[in-house]
Amino acid sequence: MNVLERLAALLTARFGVTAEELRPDATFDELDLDSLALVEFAMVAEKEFGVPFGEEDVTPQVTVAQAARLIGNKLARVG
Amino acid sequence: MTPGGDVAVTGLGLVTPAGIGVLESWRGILGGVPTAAVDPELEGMPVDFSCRVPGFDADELLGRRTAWRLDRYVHLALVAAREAILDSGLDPREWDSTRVGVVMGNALGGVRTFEEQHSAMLREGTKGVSPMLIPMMGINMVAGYIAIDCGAQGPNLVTTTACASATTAIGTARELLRAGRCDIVIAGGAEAGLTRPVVAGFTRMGALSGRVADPAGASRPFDGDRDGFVAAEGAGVLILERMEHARARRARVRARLVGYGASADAHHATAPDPTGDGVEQAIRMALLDAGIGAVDVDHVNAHGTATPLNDITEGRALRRVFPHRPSVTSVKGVTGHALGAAGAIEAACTVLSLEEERVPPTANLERQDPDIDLDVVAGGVREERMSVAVSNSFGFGGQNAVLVLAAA
Repeated sequence: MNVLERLAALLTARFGVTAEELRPDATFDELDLDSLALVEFAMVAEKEFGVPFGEEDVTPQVTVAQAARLIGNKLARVG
Repeated sequence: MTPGGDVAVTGLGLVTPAGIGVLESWRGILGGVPTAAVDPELEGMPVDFSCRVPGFDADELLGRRTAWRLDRYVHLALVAAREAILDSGLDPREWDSTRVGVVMGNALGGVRTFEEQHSAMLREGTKGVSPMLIPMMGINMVAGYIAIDCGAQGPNLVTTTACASATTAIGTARELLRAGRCDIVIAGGAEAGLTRPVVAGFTRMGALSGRVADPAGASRPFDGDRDGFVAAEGAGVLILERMEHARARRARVRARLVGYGASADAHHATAPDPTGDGVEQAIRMALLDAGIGAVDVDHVNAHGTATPLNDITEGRALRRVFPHRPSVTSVKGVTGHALGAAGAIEAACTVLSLEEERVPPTANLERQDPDIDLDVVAGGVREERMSVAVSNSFGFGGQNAVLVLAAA
C-alpha cells in the first residue's frame, strides 16, 4: 500500500469516512474532520506512519492528497 | 404560552441489558429472565458480573463517523433518543426547534473515556491525550449531543442525582413544559460506567451483590436473601409534550405525566434514612402535584435495587403512603441497576404497564423478606386494571425523585 492508500484506510477505519467521499482532492473539512478532530488525526497519523506529526501540519482546508504528500515527504526524510 | 396543563408522553426509546429497542427490552422484562452474567472486563475481580446491553455496536447503529467522537454512555442515549423521536411521530425537520428542550440524567459521565485517557497519559504524557477527552467525558454532553443529533434548540441540561438522575430529569422536563418554556422535551437518562474502577468502588462500598457463583440470581429485589445490586448500563428516553401540542398534531398519547416530587433525606452520604421519611415526602409531593389521592394509585414501579437497606426503607415508606397495597414491582431483577439511566428505563416500563395493564414480575423474588409488607408481583406477569402508577428513584446523597403517571 502506498501512503495515500494507507491514509485512506486510516480515515475510514478510525474516522468513519466512506470510500465514496475519499477523493484525493477532498478537504478534511469536507470529510467532517474539524480542528478538534484534526488534533486526534495528528496523534493517530504519527503512530500509524511513525513520523513526527503536529497539529500544525494539517488544517481543515488541506486535502487528502496534500496530507499524503506531506506524510510521504516526512517518511523520505526519516528513511 | 399558558402555563400549567397536562403533560403527554408521546414516545419511548430504550436500550437496556434486556435488549436494544422498546420491544425487545419490554419482552425481556416481562419474561422475567435476569440479564446478569459474568463480565469478561471484570475478570479476576471480587464481583465479576454485571448487566450489559447485549450486542450493542455503536459503529453499526450510529455510524463510525459519529461514534468515534462519543463515549459509550452517549452512544446508548442517542440510540434511545432516535427511537423515542421516531415513536412520537415528530419530524425534527418540521418542529419549532427553539421550543424543543432536552433534559437527561446521568451519574458518572464518560468515565470509561476518562480512564482510558488517564492510562494514555501515564504511558505517553500530555501528547497522548485525545482532544476529545473533555467533550467525551462531560456529564452535560449527553444532552448537548442529543440536541445536535436532532436539532433541539430549547433549554438543554443534564440532571445528576446519582441513581435518581433520570427521574429528576423527567420531573424537571415536566416543570419546563408546565412553565410554558417548551412544547416538547426529550427527557430520560443514560449510563455506561461498567469499568473496573467503578465496579471496584461499588464493591468496596458493599453496595453490590457478591453472589459470584450465581450471577443470574444476584439481583433479587425484596427477597429475603438479597445482598446488593448488580451494576448495569443502559438508556431510556421519553418524548414529553404539552398536551395541547400533542393534541394539535394528533399524536398518539401513550400516557400522561401527571406529577413529580423530590426530596433529600439529609441523613447520610450513601445510606437511606431508615425511617423512609424522605422517600415518603417525595411520594406525597408527587401525589399533591398530580392532585391525586394515595388511594387512587394502582401500581408502583419501585426503585427496588436489592440492597438490604433500600428495599426495607422503600417498603416502609410505601406501606405508610399506600395502605391499600397496590401492586409493586422492581424490574431491576431483570435489568440490574443502570444508575443514572434507571429512572428513565423504569418510567418507560411504567408507561407500558399502564398501556397494556400488565405488571412485569420481580425476577428472583422467591421468598419475600418478611419485614417488607408489600404486594410484590413475582413469578409471572400480572394483568390488572390500572389507571395511575408511581415510579420511584432514590440516589446516593439521599436524593429522592418520584413520578406519577396516568393512563392516556
